[in-house]
Amino acid sequence: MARVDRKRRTLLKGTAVGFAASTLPFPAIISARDAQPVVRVIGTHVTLQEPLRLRAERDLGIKLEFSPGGSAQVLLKASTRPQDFEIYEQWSNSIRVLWQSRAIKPIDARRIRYWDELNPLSKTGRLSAEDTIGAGDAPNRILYAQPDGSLDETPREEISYLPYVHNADSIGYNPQQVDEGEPYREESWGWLLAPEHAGRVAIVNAPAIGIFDLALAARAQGLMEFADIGAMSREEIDTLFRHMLRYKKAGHFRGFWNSVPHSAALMLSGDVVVQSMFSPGVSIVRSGGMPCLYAAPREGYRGWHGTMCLSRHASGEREAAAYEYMNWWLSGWPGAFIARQGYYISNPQRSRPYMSEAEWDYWYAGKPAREALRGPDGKITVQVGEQRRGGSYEKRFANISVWNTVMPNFDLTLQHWNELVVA
Amino acid sequence: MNSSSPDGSDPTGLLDRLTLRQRLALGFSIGMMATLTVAVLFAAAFEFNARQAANLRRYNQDLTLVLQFSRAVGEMQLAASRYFSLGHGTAYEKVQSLYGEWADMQARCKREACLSIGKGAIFSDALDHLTTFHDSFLAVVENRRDILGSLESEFADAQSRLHDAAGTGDSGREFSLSDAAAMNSIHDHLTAVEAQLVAFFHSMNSDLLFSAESQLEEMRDHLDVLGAAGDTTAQGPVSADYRYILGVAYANIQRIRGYAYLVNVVMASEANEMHFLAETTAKRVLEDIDALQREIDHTRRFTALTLLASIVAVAVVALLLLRRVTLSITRPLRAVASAFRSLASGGEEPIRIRSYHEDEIGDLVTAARAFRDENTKVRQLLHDYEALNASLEAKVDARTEELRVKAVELDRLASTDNLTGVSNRRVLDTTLGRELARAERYRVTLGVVLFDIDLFKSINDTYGHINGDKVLVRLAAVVAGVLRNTDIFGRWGGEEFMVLCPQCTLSEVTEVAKKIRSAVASADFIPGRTVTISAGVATSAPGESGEALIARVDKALYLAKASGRNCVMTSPERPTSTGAGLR
Repeated sequence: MARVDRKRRTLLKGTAVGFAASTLPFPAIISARDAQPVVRVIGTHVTLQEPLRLRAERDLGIKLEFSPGGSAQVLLKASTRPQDFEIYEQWSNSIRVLWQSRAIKPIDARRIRYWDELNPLSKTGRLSAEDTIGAGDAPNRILYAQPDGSLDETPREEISYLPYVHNADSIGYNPQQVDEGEPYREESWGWLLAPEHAGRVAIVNAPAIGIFDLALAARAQGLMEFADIGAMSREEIDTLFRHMLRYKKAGHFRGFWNSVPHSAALMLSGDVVVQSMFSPGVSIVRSGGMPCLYAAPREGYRGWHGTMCLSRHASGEREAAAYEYMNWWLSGWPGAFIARQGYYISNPQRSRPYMSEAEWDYWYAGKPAREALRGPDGKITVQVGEQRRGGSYEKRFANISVWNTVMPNFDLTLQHWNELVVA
Repeated sequence: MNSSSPDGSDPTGLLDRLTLRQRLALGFSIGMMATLTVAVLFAAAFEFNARQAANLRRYNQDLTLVLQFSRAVGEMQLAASRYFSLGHGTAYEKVQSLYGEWADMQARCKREACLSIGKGAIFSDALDHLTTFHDSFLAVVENRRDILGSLESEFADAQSRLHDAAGTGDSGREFSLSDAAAMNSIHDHLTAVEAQLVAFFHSMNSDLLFSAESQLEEMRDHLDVLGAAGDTTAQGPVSADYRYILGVAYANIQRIRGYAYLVNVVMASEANEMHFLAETTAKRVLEDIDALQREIDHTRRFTALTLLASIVAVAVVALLLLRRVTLSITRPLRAVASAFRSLASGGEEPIRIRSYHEDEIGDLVTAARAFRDENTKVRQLLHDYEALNASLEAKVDARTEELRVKAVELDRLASTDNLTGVSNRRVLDTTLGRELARAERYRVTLGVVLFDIDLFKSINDTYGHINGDKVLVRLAAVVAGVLRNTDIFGRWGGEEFMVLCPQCTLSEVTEVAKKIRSAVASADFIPGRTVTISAGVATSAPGESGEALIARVDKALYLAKASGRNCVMTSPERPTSTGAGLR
């Protein structure tokens, strides 16, 4: 069997004609006069939250059906059953799967009311022209739908996803068990493989995300180097997993978590002292009464970008309602809401009026909290004087090492990952 | 006797306030209580042990449950992979039935603690993962059906389009050789891709997806050839069909990736997490069992010691109490007995045994008091009687002495001459008889002197009888002064006196007589007048009677008188008719 080195772009090109041919007219959704349009949203608990749904329904006068699930489940569901949803909310690493499986269709950027307000991150891959763009699928590289059916950074009016929430992920650790490090200088992804934490480490159970945590850790530990960490070769993947299996068999990893609550539970139970973490997981641990630091690794963050997608089957009234829902997300209030769980929105200035000065200063400006701040659930998650680790929005996104990415050798990763999990 | 004894066994005296029956009942109760206490202690110990044993049983049940769960997870995992790789319907049913079984347990765990100890939370977490696992399984099953259906229908559709295109080519269009080769290649690749994708469902080997993508890549190259070589208007629709097929293939590869992700990553990690949590729970349950076992061992020793100590303590307390009760009974009884002994040995102390009740002991004390009072009375009587007796005896003795003194006086009076104090005629008679007998017995002689005052009649007449008596008294005293102790002197009558000289010969007795005559003759009696006596002397002859002897001595006296007075005349030893006068 010939193994041909291919670029993702060439692979994606193949689908262009297929799309054109398969876009069949759909029967218009007939709704009763007095019935509100229904928008079915599938995604994860991270953004499919009840306060958002209620607020959007009220603001838009539409009906929203949220179907939150595990990221893998919703991805499979979305890729095989596009007729079951209008809006799909997840992370940038799901875009290629959805796009190639023809589950989603391009979004018309001209119908996005605040399109011009969106900051450069999603459009150019960096907030400032001085920043280096992180490896892998930076948000701009998968944003624009090209006429040949591929996705790349050349600006177009058709986009594969609506940029909205995003964050810079890293490791969370319990400073009672792990010596606190200085942000950007001492804190390191390498801690995930540090022998002193053996048996008390957990990794996010998603190959397109977790592989970078492991790769950054392996590189920090000096185990190996990568030509391009955002597009690892088969040999690099084989080597990486050979190392990781060695760690796994030695009992280094306590587990692989599938959900944010699971990650928080692992740390709260004391089983884990350092692990891959998402910002809401850190909040849960803190409101559970355990200190948890969200590191600013010296190797840089693993960035992710939220992607809101439109089902290939969305049409008519529902499609219009779906556009309204997308526009609502960029209208200010939701961005302020989601900021409280540590996420950024692509047009922060529109959300700023919905935040207190103290909130803005803490979450975006990276200044010490002037007052105790509450999370989306109303529980206090930030104490007075605390400062967001890693600094301001700009500073954090200037330090993106790699973006969550479905790499060309994803299938190999998947196979190795399976072995890593069950070994 | 006092019941509040100095040993202080009952300082409060409370027991004394109880009746004997109450005390006996109390003693019995104490015994019963002690027995009961020990029984209760034993029961408690048994109960405690039983509870621990029950806990141990529950822990073991927990362990069994957790191990069953762990096994079920393994079976479910096996069944799931059997279903994915072989498509067995029974494997699907197995997963469903196992989940059904444990979903009930999960519901129970949500409501209440499903394990008896604090490991329920972990176990509950494990069951939550079961739900995720099952949800994923259902999603996988559903999508698998979709994907396989899609592969079957869309690939069949593509093949038929391909066939149509080829048919069209056969009937009207001219295909270049290269076109034909390209079409054949495309056909082959498509068949291969379909086969590889289907095969992937059974092996999950990523090489198959990789190979399929390579095939598609080559297929795309052929399509480029086809598009470049032919007339675009003629080949357009054909090309479009092929590109559609390509799109179908890519879409399905992505779906299969999603499927593989769920199966290989999510379900695998869920199963792994369940195993881990089950193992952790089992380990903790085992630790708890171990701890409980140690605790059981410890408490078993502890209860044994405590039980022993408690039994000893209860026994000691019970015995002390019983002793007190017993003492409260025996002490008054002993006191009563002691009182009786004291009474028997003459004690008369009042009985001070305290008894608050008219119970049997009280009765006994009352009886003792009555006995003591009676005894005291009797004793007093006896004492009085003895005193009386003593005084009577003293009186009798006094009288007897009085009588004896009087008898002695009477005797003296009977044998003494009233005037002179010398023996009287009765004593002389008696003595004479006795001495005669003695002399006879020892073959000795008894000397006898008989004398009288010369001319006593003229003294009386001259000086009066008073002075006459004085002469007699004086004479008796003078004579007594010259006699020996063995001589017996008495007044024979009137102015006649007699001296008996036992064991004296005639000469010896004559000598006595002469001393008497001389003493009298030289003594002063009445101023101006001499008093003389005349004496006859004789000694007893063997076999001679008293009267005969007296007669002889009297004859001798007569001779003296006759011879002129103031002389001594001896009677011959042999009674003769005449006596010889001596001077």
